[in-house]
Amino acid sequence: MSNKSPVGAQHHITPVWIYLANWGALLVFMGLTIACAKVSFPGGSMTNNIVAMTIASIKAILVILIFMGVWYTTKLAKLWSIIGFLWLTFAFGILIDYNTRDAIPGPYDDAGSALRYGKAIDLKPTPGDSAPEVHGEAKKVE
Amino acid sequence: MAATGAHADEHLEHGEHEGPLHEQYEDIDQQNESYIVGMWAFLVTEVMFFGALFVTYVLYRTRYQHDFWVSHLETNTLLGGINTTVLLTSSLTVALAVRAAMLKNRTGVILGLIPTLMGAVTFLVIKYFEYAEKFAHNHYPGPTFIPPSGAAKGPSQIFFSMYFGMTGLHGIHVLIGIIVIGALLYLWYKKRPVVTEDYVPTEMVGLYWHFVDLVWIFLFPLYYLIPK
Repeated sequence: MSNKSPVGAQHHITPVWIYLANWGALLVFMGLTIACAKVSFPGGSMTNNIVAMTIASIKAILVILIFMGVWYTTKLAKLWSIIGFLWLTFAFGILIDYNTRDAIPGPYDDAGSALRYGKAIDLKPTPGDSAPEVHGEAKKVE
Repeated sequence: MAATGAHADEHLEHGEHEGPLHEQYEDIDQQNESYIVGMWAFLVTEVMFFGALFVTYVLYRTRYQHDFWVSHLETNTLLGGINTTVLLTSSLTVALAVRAAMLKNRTGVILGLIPTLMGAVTFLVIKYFEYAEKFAHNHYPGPTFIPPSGAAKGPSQIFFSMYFGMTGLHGIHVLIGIIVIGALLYLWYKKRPVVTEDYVPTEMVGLYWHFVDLVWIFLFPLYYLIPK
């Protein structure tokens, strides 16, 4: 950042050793993520997932800041480098409760198939009852 | 890029070439920033493109954790690890090539781009062997799909559909990378002013290649290292 050349601030020359150190760190983190996958952390697979994704995020940040040069670039370019990942956070945010929603559309138990077959299917899972309750056909007979 | 090259050549023929600055920009700083921001805008669309697939993956993975775990045992962690190393190393070499481009060191750029290109090709060759292994065991989506023993058919099909979809899309990006890096190497070899007088085209190819590396950084743990 200090050696501002006549061609401008973006023309930052990163020392070779920083690139080499970054590469070494990325390889170490890759080894770490492989090693962590073989360990069962307390808290089950969720802890493993958090560890794996944390390591992947650190690797991603290293690539973006050092290799992609975002650390040394202009404020506008920095903003653009963040915006996509901000979108990704929102995408995960709006779908984070997806699997706990009352009705999950699926190929066999969705509301659409209930309409197709003229049956009302109770999508609310009741304790100890795995199969969806089918009624409607019987009611017609009554 | 080719159009800009022709433009630059035209200028040279008329003997009025004044460096890489185009007339619509105030100075080289503004031009460089516009180029880099433009490239990042493209990469944002790429993040959204791959991001939707990552969200889909997470939703299915949380729903079918066990079947995903059983299915993922069919992936080859050693080959996946080698490919990760190959991509990380090619990211280093392309970063060194961009650095050399800033210093107008043509030999340095060529010496950086050749191993990058070799890394990209190596990645696809290894991927070919991985895919061939899956095909040999009928672990590809379609009517002849056979799930790995212990995995339910439906969820396992989802796993392999997503595996081929996401690694395939990433593979297409690697293929495009080979073409773009190859073209850049050719332009440097031919001493075209579009690359030799302005480091930004080299920088943009570098950004693209780092992005390809970035996607793989997440694909590797999500497909090869699923915890039980």
